[in-house]
Amino acid sequence: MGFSSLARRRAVAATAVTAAAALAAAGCGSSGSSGSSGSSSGQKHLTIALVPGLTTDPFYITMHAGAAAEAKKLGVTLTWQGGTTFSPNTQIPVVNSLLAKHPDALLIAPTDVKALQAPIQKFVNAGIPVIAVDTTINDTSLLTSRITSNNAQGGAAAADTIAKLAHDKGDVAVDNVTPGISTTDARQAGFLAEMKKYPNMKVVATEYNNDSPTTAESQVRNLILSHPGLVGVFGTNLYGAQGAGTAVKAVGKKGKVFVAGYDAEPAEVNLLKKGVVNILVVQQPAVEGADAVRYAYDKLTGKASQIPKSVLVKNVVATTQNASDPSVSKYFYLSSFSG
Amino acid sequence: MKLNAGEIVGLVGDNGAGKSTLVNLISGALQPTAGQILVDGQPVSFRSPSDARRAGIETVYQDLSLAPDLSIWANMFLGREKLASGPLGWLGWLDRRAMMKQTAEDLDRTRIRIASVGSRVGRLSGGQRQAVAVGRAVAWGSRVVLMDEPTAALGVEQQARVGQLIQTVASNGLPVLLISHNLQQVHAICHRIVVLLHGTTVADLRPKDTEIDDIVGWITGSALAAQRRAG
Amino acid sequence: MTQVTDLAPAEQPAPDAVPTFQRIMERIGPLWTLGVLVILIVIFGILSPDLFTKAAWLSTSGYAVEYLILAVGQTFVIITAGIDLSDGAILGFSAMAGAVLMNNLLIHHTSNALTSLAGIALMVGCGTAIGLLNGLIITRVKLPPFIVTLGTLTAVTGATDLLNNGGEVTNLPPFIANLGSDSLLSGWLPIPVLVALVIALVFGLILARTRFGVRTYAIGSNETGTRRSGIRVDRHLVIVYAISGFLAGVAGLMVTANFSSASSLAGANDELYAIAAVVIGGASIFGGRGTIFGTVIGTAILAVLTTGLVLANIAPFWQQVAIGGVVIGAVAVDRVRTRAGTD
Repeated sequence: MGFSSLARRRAVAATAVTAAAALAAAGCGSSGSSGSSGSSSGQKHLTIALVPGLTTDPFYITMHAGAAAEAKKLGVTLTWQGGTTFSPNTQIPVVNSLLAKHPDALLIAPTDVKALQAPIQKFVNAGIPVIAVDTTINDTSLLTSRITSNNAQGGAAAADTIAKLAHDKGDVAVDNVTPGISTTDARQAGFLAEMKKYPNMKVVATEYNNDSPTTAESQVRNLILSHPGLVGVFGTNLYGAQGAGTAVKAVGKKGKVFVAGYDAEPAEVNLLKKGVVNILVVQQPAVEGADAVRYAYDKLTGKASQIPKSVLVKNVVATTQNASDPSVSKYFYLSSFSG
Repeated sequence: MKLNAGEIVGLVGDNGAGKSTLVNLISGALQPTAGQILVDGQPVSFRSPSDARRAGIETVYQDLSLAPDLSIWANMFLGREKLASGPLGWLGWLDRRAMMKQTAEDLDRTRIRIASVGSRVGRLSGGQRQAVAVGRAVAWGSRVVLMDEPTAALGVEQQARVGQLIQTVASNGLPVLLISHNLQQVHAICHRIVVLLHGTTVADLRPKDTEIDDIVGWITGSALAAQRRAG
Repeated sequence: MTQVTDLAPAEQPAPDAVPTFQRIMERIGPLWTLGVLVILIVIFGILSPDLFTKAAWLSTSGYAVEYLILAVGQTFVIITAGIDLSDGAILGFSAMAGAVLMNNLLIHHTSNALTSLAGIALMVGCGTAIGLLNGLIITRVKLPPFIVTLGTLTAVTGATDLLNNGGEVTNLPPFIANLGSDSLLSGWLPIPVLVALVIALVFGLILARTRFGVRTYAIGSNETGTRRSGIRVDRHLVIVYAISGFLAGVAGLMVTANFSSASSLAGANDELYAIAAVVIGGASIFGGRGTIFGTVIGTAILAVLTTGLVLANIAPFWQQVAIGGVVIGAVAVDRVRTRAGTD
C-alpha cells in the first residue's frame, strides 16, 4: 500500500500538541487571578469577575491593574476574561459562560447599551450584583453602581483646547467609534455642545471608524483633503486619536491641524510627545477599576448603603508641553499587566 | 462508417486523425457541419449529449466520468436517479434500495464482480472502475456503446478483463465502437477495424485478413500512398 | 454518506499489508470528530465542573446558533468544491435591512404581526438574493468562488453601513425580541437553538437523502463527469449559493432576535468560524465529502472550546490559539483518514 507512516504520525502529533498546549495553558493556572487566598476576618472567600470591553486595550489593562491592586488589599480573588474585539459578539459568550461559574460579583464594561442587558439581567436574577465600569447599559436600574469618567467634560475640554490653539477660528471634525457606545457618544455630545460657544468655528463632519485605527486614518486623511479649512480633529478614543494623528503627520499638516485625543496608551503618548497629537484627555481607569472592586466588596459585605449609584471620575488633561512631567505621566496607560 | 448489432468495431488512427472529434459527434457533444448520423436507418440530429443518450447511445469517456467520492450505485444512476414514490418523491427523495438492487443486477449481467455496490468508486482499482463505467453505459445504452481508450491506464491483466467485458457486451447484442491505441487488443477482439487518417476513413479491415503491421501502415498513411501508387 | 465496505475478493490487499492505525481510522470513519467532542467535554468538565450547568449549556448553545446555521449552508457550498466567504456579510446586511424596515413600519404604527412578517421576509429575501447573485456571477462569468464571494463580502459590508449610517437599530417589534428570549422545556431549549437544530436536520436530510443532495456531492467530486451525465451543473450551483445566502438571512434573523438589535458589526468574520466548523466536521475543501452531522459536531467543538476555555479561566489569547490549532489538527487527521480510503 505504501502509505506514509511519517505523515500519519505528524497528523497525530499536530493534534496532540494542540491539546497539550491548551491544557498546559490551563495547567499554568488561572491567567487572571490575583489576590491572596486567605482573609483575616474569616469570612467567605470572594471572587469578583472583571470583564473589559476588550482584553488587549491598554485602557482596560490599566483598569485591570488598579482593580487587581485593590483586590489584593481586600483579600478577594479577581478574574479577568473578555473578548479580543470591542463587540457584543465576543463579549456576550464570555459573560454567558461566566454565569456558570457564579462569581460573587460582576464588573463589566458593556460593549453595547442594549445587547448586554439580557445577559446582565441573568446575573441580577441569580443574585449576583453587577457594576458597570467605563461604558454602561440603557437600564441602569439593573446596576449596583456605574463608574465612568466624565465624558461630557472630557469632550468639552477637547473643544476648548482646540479652539485655543486655533485662535477660535476654523473647521473641526469628530472621529468617533461606533454609535451606541455610551462613553464615546457622551464625549462627542460634550464636544459638539462646547463648540457652539465658538461662533467662528464649525463642526463639518462626524465620522465613525468602528474602533479601527486604519479606518480612522483614512477618514481623517479624506477630511483634510476635502476641508482645507480644517484646524482640528477630535478622536473620541485611542484608535480615533491615533488614526487622526497619523493622518495629520502623513499629509504634513502637523501644527496646522490640531488633534485632540482621548486616552493615553503608549502609541498616543508617543504622538503627544512628538506634537503630532496636541492634547490628550486622560481618564483614570485604574481608579475606576479600584473603585469598582471596592464597591463590589462593600455590597457583598453588607455595606451597600455606602455605595454611590453613579460615579464620575475626573479626567487629567495632558498636553505636549506637560507630557514629561511625572505628575502627569503617571496617569498614562500600561501596555501590559500580568497577575 | 457503419455499425451493426453485436459488432465490436475498432476505430484506430494516429493523434490528430479525428477520433475524438468523431466520438464527440456521435455522443452529441458536437454538431456536424457536414454529413449525417443515421440510427436504425433514420437520420438524427443531436443538439446535446442528452439527445444522444435519449437515442440510446452511451459513451464511456477516457476519464470515465465517475465521481470518486460517490458510491457505485450513485454513479450508475447519476443524472437518472430513481425517486421514491408519493409526495416524498416529488421533493426529490431517493429510492436508494431500488437503485442499489438494480445496480447489482446490471453489474451481474456484465459479469463484473464487485462485492458491494455501496463502495466508494474512489476505493476501487482501475479495472473495477473501468468496469463500473462500462457497466453504466451498458445498463443505459440500448443502441450503441462508445468506448474511448478504455485500457489506456490499465495493467496487462486488467486490460484483458476489459477486453472480456467488451465481448460480453457485444454478445448481448449491443454494438460497441472501440476507440483505442491498443492495436493488440483491437486486433484480438474486434470484428472490424476502421482506420481514420486526416479526418477520413481510409480503410475498413477484417482482423483475420490483416496483420497488425498492416494496420500500422494504414494508420501512418504509407499503405494509402502505396494503394494510390498502385491504382 | 456511503459506508466503505469490502472490495471484490480478488482486489483486496492482504490484511497485514494495511497498517493497524489506518484500519482503525477507516472503521471509525467520520465518527472520530464525535469522539473528539466527547473528549473535549470530558477534559473541560474536569478542569471546571461548571461546564455541566444549565447556564453553561445555554451559553454554549446560544453562541453556536448563528455559526451552525451559516455552517449548514457553507457545507453545501464546500461539498461542491466551492467556498462562500460572504455569508457573514450577508448575515449582517440582511439583519440590518430587515431591522431598518421594521423600525420604519413601527414608526408608522404598523401592527406587530405585520411588521415582524415583513421584516423576516425581507431578511430572508435579501439573503437569498445576494446568494443568487453569488451563484450567477460564479457560473455565468465563470470566476472562482473565492474571488466572487470575497468581492461580495466587501461590497455587502459597505452596503450594510449605508443602510443606517453605521448605526444600530433597536426599535423592533416584540415578536422579534421574544423569538430571541423564549424557550421550551422550562428554559433548556431556547427558540433560536431549536431553529438551528431544525435547520440542521432538514438540510441534513436534503443532503443525504435527496437527488439534490447526491448531485451536490457529484459536482464536487467530478464536475466534468457530472456535466456529461446531463445534470445542469450551473443551475445546481446557483441554487447552492442561494441556499447559503438564504441561511445567512435566517442567521441574521436569529442574531437580531438574540440581541434585540441589529448592528453593523453583526456577522463580521462569522464565515471563518462557519468554514472552520465544516472542515473540522470532516468536509474536504476539495469537494465531494462532508456531512451536516459532521458540521454540527464541528460547530459544537468550537462552541465547547469557547465556553470551556473561559470556564477554565484560560487567558483570552490562548483561546484563539486553541481554536486555530483544532482546525489545523482536524484537517490533518482528516487527510490521513481520507488518504487511507481513496487510492
